[in-house]
Amino acid sequence: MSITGAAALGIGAVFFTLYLRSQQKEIAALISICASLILFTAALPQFETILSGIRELSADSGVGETAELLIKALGISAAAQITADICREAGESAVGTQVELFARAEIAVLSLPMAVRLLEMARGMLA
Amino acid sequence: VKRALLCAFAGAVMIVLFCGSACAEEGIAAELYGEELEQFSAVLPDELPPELRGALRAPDGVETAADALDFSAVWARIAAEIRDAWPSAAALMLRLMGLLMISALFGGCGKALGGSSLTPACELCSTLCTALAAAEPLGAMLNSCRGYLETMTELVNGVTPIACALCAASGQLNTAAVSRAALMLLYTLYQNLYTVLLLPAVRIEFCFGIIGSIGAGVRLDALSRGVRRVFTWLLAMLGLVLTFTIGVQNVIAKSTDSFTMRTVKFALGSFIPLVGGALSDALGTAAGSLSLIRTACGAVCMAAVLILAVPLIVQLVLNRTVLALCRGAAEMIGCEREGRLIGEMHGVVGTLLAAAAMVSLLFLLILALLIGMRSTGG
Repeated sequence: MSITGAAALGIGAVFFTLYLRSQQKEIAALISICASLILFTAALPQFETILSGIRELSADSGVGETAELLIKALGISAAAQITADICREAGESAVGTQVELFARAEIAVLSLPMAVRLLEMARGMLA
Repeated sequence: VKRALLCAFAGAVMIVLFCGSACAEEGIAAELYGEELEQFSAVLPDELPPELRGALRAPDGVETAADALDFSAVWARIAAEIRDAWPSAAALMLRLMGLLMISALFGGCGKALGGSSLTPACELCSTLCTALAAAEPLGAMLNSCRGYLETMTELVNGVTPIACALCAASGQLNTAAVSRAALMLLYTLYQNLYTVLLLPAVRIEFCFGIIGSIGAGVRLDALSRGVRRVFTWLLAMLGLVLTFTIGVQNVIAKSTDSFTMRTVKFALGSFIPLVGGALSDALGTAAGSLSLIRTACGAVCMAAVLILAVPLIVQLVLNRTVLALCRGAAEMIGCEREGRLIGEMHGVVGTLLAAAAMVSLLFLLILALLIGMRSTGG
């Protein structure tokens, strides 16, 4: 999908949402969610290109493992952000906050091995 | 009775110093000080060229040692060490730069997503990655420093008996006593420097650096800077006091020895009939010959320090430069936390560099004072 298509889809979705919001809230919310998911799915190939570039760069720099970890954290962050926004859009801000909390916990779990290695390094120095 | 005592003393001095003179002149001083020379040779680094290792026993030992300390030879060694150490420093730079680029990209993507609640978690993840990459070579550098200090301690331990034996043999008993005291002081300092000063300073700086970079809003860089200043000030003061004290003691001992030597020479020349003048001259020759061996020993020690210190100092300087470059790059691309962390690691490497430089300089200074000086009797 090109940017023109994405823009057209976005504007169309907003138009229909605004039109239907006063009469059928549920349908409007569904349209909004569908449009968001379609746009996100359409953007995934672009992300794939960026990620392969980052992977190449990180492999050349010798930080492949670390880059993978950061990419995972970025993916978690993106997915959580979109989900939380959709939840808030649907009026379920509590669910959105929980999703963000879950994502933060997952990123913390992801960072844990590094934190442990760093602490071990510090402990090794302090021993 | 006085005359008899004087004659007996002169005879004893004559026997001891004539033996020393003959041995030194014929190049068999090694037999006299064989054990000390063996002990000294054992602590010399393996990288020392064989001709330099054998300089102590060779008649032209001073020239051989002086050639090793030649300006071009020193530069050639530094260049060779830079060539050897550059790949690892370049790898560190590549890794850090790569991480910084990814962190910057990551930060940009995070901001683009607009999630303020998720940004701190992502930043923490990114900072941890950089902290690991920046801290990993620190352990290796610390180990190199410890190894260097251990080798220097062994070198001081090895050089002490030979330096004192040579001083005492050339009639400089006070200088020998001062040499022993100074070298033992240096030995104690080297033995304790790592555990008492260097390691605590590095630990504190490292921990402050990690906490300051990971903890959002926690700024501990001023404290680390303070620790670094105290450490370098302590090192400088220690070096200054030690050099000054040993210098003053050395001058006093040298004057006393000179007076004693002149008195003995005068006594020999005046009170021993016929051969007194010849004995007096021989005494001077003996002291001069032993001074030559002592100078060769000092020059070999200096070459050994150079060979030991250059790899470590080159490694530390290169890594420090790389860290400084990466800190600059981090600040340029907006990775403030990563830049701060790399800056802290840069400071830690600076502390290690200060310790290595001080240890080498202090040894060279004390060596120049104790072994490199000319015989007072010659």
